[in-house]
Amino acid sequence: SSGINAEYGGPDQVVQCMEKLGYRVGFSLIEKATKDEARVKEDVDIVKYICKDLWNMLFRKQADNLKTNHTGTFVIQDNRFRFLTRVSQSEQYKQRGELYVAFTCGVVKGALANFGLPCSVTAEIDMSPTVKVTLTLQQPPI
Amino acid sequence: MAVCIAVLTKDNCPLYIACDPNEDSLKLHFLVHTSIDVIEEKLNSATAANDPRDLYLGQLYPNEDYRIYGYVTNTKIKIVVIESISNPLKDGDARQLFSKVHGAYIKLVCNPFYSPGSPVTSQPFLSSVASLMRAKTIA
Repeated sequence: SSGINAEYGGPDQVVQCMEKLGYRVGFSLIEKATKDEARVKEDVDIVKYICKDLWNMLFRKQADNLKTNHTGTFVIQDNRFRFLTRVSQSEQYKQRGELYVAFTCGVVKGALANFGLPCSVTAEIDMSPTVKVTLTLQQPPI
Repeated sequence: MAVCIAVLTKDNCPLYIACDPNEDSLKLHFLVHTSIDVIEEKLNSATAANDPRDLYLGQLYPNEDYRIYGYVTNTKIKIVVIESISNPLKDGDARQLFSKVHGAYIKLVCNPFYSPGSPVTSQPFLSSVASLMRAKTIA
C-alpha cells in the first residue's frame, strides 16, 4: 500500500485529492443533468435527488435509505456500495475501503454545492459493503 | 434578435453579458441589474402564476423600449435576455433561446479547464452566444 500513498504524501492526501476530483465531477454532472428537469425547490428535495437520481447516474441503483434529524444533517445509506462489493470484508482492508468512498463523497459535495447547498460530506463503513454518507448542511435549514 | 444576453451566477454577479454594439450597453447592463429583483420575487412567490416548476420565467416586467425575459436553472444560474420592442421574439423562440444559452453554459462548466465563477474566455461559449444574439429566428 506504500506506492500511491508515498507519491501523495500519505492516505489523507490521497483522500483529499480524490475528493477534489469528485467535487468537480459532481458539480458538472448536476449542471448537465438538471437542465431539463423541473425546478427542485426544498433542501429535502435536493437531498432526495442525490439519493435517487445522482446515485442512479453513478451506480445504476438508488441509495437504500435516507435518514435526517431535521436540523440539517442527513445520512444516506447504501447497502451494496458498488465500489466495495468486490473488496474482501476482512478487517485489514477497512482503511483501504475509505479510499474507495472518497471520490463519491467529493461527487456528492460538488453536486450539493452546485445546487446551492454547501455542506460537509463524510462517509463511514461499519460493515462493508454498507456505506453511510453523512451530509451536514453548513447553513441551518429555514 | 436579442440586444442583450446576460448570464448571472448564484450570487447574482454578472458572469457574462453580451450586448448588441448598436445599443447603449450601460442602459442594458442596468436593465439586467434591475431584473434581478424581479427574478428573486418570482422565485420566492408561493403562488406563482407560471408553473412553479418551470425554469423559464417569461417576461419579467414591462418597459417602453425593450422586452426582458428571465430564466433560472436548477443550479441558481440566472439568464436574462433583452430584446427590442421593434423586433420581438415569439414566445416559443424565447424558450428555445434560453435553452440554447443554457446548453452553452453547461458545455462551459463541463470543460475541466474552466473554473466555475471565473471570467469566461472560452471561445465556443462566446461564439455560441454571439450567434444566438444575431439569429433572426431560433431553429
